[in-house]
Amino acid sequence: MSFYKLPESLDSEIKEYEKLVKEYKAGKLAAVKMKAFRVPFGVYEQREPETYMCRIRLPGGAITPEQLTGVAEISEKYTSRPLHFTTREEVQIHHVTLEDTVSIIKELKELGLSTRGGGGNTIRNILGDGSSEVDPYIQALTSRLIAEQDSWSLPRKLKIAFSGDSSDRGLATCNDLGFIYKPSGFSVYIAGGMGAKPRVAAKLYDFVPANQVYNIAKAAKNLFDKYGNRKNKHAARLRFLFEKLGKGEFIRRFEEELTAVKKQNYPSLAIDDLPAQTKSWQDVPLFLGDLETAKAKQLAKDIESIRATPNQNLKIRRRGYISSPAQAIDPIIGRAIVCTGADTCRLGICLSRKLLSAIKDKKMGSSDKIDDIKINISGCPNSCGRHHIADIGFFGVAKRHDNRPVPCYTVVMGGVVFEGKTKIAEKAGVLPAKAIPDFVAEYLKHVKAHRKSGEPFFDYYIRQGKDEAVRLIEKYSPIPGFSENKDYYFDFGADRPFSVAEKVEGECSAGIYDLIDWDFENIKIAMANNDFRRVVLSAARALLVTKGLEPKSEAEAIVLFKQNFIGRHLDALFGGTVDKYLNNQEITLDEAKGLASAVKALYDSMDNSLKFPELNHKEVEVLRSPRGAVERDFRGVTCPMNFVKTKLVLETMQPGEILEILLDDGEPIENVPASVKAEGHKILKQEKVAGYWRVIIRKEGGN
Amino acid sequence: MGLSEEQIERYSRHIILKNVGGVGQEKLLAGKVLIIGAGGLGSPAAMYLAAAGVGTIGIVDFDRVDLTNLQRQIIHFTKDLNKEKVLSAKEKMEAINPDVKVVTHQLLLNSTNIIDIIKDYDFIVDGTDNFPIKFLINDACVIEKKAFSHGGILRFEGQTFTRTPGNACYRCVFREPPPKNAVPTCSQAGILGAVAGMLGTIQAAEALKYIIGIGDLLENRLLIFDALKMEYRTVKIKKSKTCPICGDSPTITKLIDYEQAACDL
Ligand code: SF4
Ligand SMILES: [Zn+2]
Repeated sequence: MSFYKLPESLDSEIKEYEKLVKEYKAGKLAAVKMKAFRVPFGVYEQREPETYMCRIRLPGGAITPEQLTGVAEISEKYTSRPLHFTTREEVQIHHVTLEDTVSIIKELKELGLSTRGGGGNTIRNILGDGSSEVDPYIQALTSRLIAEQDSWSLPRKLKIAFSGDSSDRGLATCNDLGFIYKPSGFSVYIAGGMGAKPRVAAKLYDFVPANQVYNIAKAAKNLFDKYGNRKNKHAARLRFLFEKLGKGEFIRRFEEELTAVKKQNYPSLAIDDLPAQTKSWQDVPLFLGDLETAKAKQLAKDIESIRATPNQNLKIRRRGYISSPAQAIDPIIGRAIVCTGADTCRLGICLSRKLLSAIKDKKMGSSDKIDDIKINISGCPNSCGRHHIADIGFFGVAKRHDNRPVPCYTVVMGGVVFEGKTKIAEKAGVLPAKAIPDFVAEYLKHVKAHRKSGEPFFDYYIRQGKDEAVRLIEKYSPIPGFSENKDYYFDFGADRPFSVAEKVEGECSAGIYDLIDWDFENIKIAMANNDFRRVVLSAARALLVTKGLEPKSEAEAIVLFKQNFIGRHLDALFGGTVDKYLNNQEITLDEAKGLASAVKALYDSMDNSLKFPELNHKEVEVLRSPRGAVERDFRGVTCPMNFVKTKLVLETMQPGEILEILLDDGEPIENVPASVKAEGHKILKQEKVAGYWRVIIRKEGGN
Repeated sequence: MGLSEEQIERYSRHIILKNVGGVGQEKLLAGKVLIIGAGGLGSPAAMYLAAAGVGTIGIVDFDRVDLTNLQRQIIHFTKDLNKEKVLSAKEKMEAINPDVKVVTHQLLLNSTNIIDIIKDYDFIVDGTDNFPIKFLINDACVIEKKAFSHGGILRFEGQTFTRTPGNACYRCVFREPPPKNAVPTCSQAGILGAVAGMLGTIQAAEALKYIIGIGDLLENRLLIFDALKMEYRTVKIKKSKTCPICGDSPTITKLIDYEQAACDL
C-alpha cells in the first residue's frame, strides 16, 4: 500500500536525472545546471562538497510500516547516517554521493515514494496533523497537484497545510495555504509563512464544503503563478504578494481565479473513507529528528500506522492493544524543533543542534525544568527551526566584538499556533551563543518560581510579558574581549574560531547582512557622537565580508579596504580619507559623511551574488608609448591561460610601454586585470566593447 | 628562447607565480641538476624536478631496485625489481615530462670520479645516506664551487641545509665522519617512507629556487624536523675559519675516500 500516487512522468524524469548526473560527473555539465535539476528532485548538497541528501515526500507525514522498512534498508545501503525527519514531515537520507542518489531515487520509486518536489519552486510536502479527517484530503490533493505539469514552475515554493481541529498542530495558520477541518468542510487560511519575514496567515473563508478543497488549492496555485514575483526570489512567496496587493485586492484576485477554476468543472478529490480510528496516537520523540535505520526497522515491525510530525517526532499506533510507554526523553528536547544548522546546512550561521545539546546539558535542578515549554532553534534567520512559533525561540546571527565575529542568537518569545490565536514570537534581544544555556536556566527558574500552579507557560507569558526575559538578556549579553575569554568566539563544539566570511561563495548568507548592518548601525551612532574616526573605520570595514575578508585589527580593516575597494569600486579620493585614519590625522565631518554615504550607495548597488559595480575608468587619459601599444587578442582563451599569456607578453616589454588586450566577459575580465595589477603593472583603462572587454595596461618596473 | 604553446600550458602554474614568470621557467629549462642517489630522497626530488621542467637532470646510483626499496623510493615500481635504479628513474622522469633530458651515471662515486661528474651541473642534490659519501660530496662541491643541498634522514627525523660558495659547509659543522657503526644506518634503524618524501621535496624546492634565483635558501641554517611531533626548527650554523676544507687555511687538499658502511636509503 502507499499513500499518494506517483505522477506518470516520474519514469522519464528519473531517466533525465540519471543522464544529467552522468554528464555532470564526466565534467560535461556545469554545476549550476546540475543544481537546477537536482534541487527540484529533492536532492540537496550538504555542507561538505559533493555530499548529498535526498528528501522524500511524505504528505501529512504518512508512511506505511513497509515503506519505512524499505527506506531504512535503502539508506543502509548507501550511508551509515540515521534517517532524518524534517519539520515538513519529510524523511531524508543523508550523506550520499550524487551517483547513489540516482539508485536511491529508483529504489524509492519501487516503494511508491518520491523525492521529486522535495525542493524547488513547486508544491512542497503538504503538512498534516495525522488526524483521520484530513489525511485522505492530503493524499488526494498531493496526488492531483504533483501530476500537473504547471506545478513545477511556480515563482517560488508553495506550502500547503491541513489540521484536524483548531489546535492547528498541522500549522495551517502559518503556511501559504491552510485548511482546518470543520464538520463536512474546512476553514481556509492564506498567505502565512515563516522564513526570515514571518507572517500569520489571513483567514480566507470561515467555511467551505469539503468538495472545494481542490478548487481552492488550484486557484491559489494559479494566482501565485500569475502574479508571484519571479525576479526577486527573496520576495517571491505568496505572502509578499499579499502584502504588496493588500488584503482586499489580493482576495479579489483570488476569487477571480477561483471563479475561473470552478468553470473548468474539475472533478473533486476522490476521498476514500477511512475506517474510524479507535486507537489514539502515541508519541515517539526523536532527538533532533534522527532515527537510526535499525530502530526504524524495529519500530516498523510493531506498528499499524505511523506519522511524522512537524516537530520532527513520530506518532504511532501499535499493533494489538498493548501500549508500551514511549521512551523517556527530556521533555524540553522532545518538544524542541531545531534545524540542522551550520553543521550541514550551507546557509547556516550557528551550530543550532549543538546549542540545544548545551541547553540540555546545563545542570538545571529538575524542579526548575518546565515540561511544557517549547524551545525552537534555527541556525540562521531562515527559520527552518520554526523559532517564530516557540515559547522561546533562537535564531543564529553574527555579531562583531573586539574586531571579531561572535556566534550569537536573536531571542524571540511568546509564539503560539492555534486557530484564531496564532502569533509570531516577538523579539526580546540578542545573546552570545555561549551565554544562552545560563540564560535559559535562570529564566526557567524564575518562571517556575512565579507562575501559578498549573498555569501553562503561554498564559504566564501573556500575564508577565517579556520584561523579565529582557532583563536577563541584558545581564547575559556582554561579550568579553578575545584575550579575556576566547570561548565566546567559538561556537559550541567548534575547534576553530567562528567565522562568517568562509561561508561566502556567492551565496547570500543572511549572516553577512547582519555583519554589514551592524557596521552601518555603528556609523549612525558614531555620526551622532561626532566620532568621525569611528565612522571611517566602520565604513571601511562594512563591506569587507562580502569579499571573504575578516580583518583582525582596525588597521588591517583600513588596509584591506584600500586594496579591495578604493580605485576599484570607490573613487580614489576616498583613499585620502582612509589614509588620514591610518596617519592619525583629523577627519572632518564632510570627509566622514562622504565616505559613509559612498559606501552605503555601493552596498545598495550590490547584487545577489555579493558583487559590486566596478569603477569606470573612462576619465583616465590613455598614454601611448612612442612605438604604439602592443596588442593581443585573448578572447576565447580561458582563465588562467589568458593571464599567463598576458604576463609572458609583458615580460618582453619595456617599462612604460603599453599593452592592449581583449578579454571575454565574465571570469576573464573579473580575474585578469586584478592579476596584472597584483604583478605591479597599471591598468589604465578597461572598457566593455559589445560582449567583450578591452584592457589597456602600462608595464611597470622590471620583470 | 621562447616557450612553445604546450610549454606555456604545461608550466602555466609556474608562470603565474609572481617571482617566476616565463623568465623563471626558461631558467629552469636551461638548468642542470645532479641528483646523487635514486633512493628515498632522490625519488621525490627527481620527480618534482622533472615535472618542473629542469632541462637536464643527472642521476647517480649504482644499485638495482630491491623489494625493500619500494616502501619509500617512490620512483621505482614493483615491476622494476632488479632493474638498474638509474634506468628505472629515467623512465619515470621522461614519462612525467618529455622536455627533460635525463643523464644516467650508474657507478659508485669516489675521489677519482666525482669531480668529473659534478662539474657540468649547476646544483647538486645529495640524496645519499652514508657519511663517507656525504663528506666526499661536500668536499668536491666546495672545491668545484658548486651549490648543493645536503639531506639526511633517520627513523622519523630529517635534516637539510643548502651550501653555496662562501657559506657554511658540512665540514664546518661536522668535522669528520663518525666512527664506523657509531650511527645506525637506516637499514638498521628504519625510516618512515613519507619522511624521505618530506625531505626530498624540500631539497627539490631548494634546487628550483636556486636555479630561478628567488627566495632565501637554507644557507647557514640547518632545518631539522621531527615527523613524530611534526615539529620543524632551524638551527643557525656558521662558516668556520678553521674548517679543514673551506676555512682560511684548509688542511684537506685532496679528496678522501673514507671506509664505507654501505646503506641504501
Ligand atoms: S534555519 Fe538556516 S541554518 Fe537552519 S536549516 Fe534553515 S537555512 Fe539552514
Ligand atoms: Zn666548511
